[in-house]
Amino acid sequence: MKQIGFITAILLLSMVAGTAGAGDEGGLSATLRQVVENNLAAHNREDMSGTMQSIHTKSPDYTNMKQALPNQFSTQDARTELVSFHYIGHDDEFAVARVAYKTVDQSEEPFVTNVLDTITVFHQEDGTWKYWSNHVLGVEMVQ
Amino acid sequence: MTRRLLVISAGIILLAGCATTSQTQWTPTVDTYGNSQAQYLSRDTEECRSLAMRTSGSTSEQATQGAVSTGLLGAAGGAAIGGILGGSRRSLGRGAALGAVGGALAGGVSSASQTEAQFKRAFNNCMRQRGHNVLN
Repeated sequence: MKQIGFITAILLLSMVAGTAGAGDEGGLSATLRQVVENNLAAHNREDMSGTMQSIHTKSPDYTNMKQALPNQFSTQDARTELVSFHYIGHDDEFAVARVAYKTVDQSEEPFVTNVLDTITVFHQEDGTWKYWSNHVLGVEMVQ
Repeated sequence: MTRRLLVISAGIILLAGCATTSQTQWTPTVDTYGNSQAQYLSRDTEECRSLAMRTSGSTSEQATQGAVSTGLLGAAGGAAIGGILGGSRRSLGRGAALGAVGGALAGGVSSASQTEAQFKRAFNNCMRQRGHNVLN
């Protein structure tokens, strides 16, 4: 009887721990999605500072971003929307998600509307999740 | 007739070969003076070359996905890709995946000179998007 009680307790504990883990994952997924949405919103309103706030300052692409954004904002009128966001997982330092964006441009500049499919890596900076890097899985050109 | 076909085929292969050789060697002229991005010039040159070869349909580039890097994150990535590809829009089929562009155009849809111009335009656009001062 004692043994059954012990096993039941272990099972209950593992269930509680599992639920808590899933909740954490859900919370992290929502947090990362918000990072992406903040980035898109800032970029769409051509907000340099807002866009850069979502990028980790130690990111290997941080300088690239800082250099490219003024050029993009002055020559393009791009609008990007989130097509899909799938949280993949995380460890102590990094979190990973598959993120797809659709970008259109309303300026007169030559532009190909595209859907960019990426594996995006996030990293915390001062307790805040930010973009660290991404790997382009594919680009679909539309229309 | 067969001989004529052989000659034409050889000509196409020769032209494609010339374009490919040129695309593996040609590099935009970049002024690095006062540019904090200068340290990334070599890396960006090779990444942009690879991207430009895809958009221009170089026969030397296999149709693969996953090796494309914009060097930019979030919304900036799509904006960069759209701008880079904008110069070669006429050559791209609807819904074509970037990685498949090389294979699609390798069939001789565009002439060698068109391909060359597309390659250089895409290459220059890509370098400028990465903050380099391209002179040509």
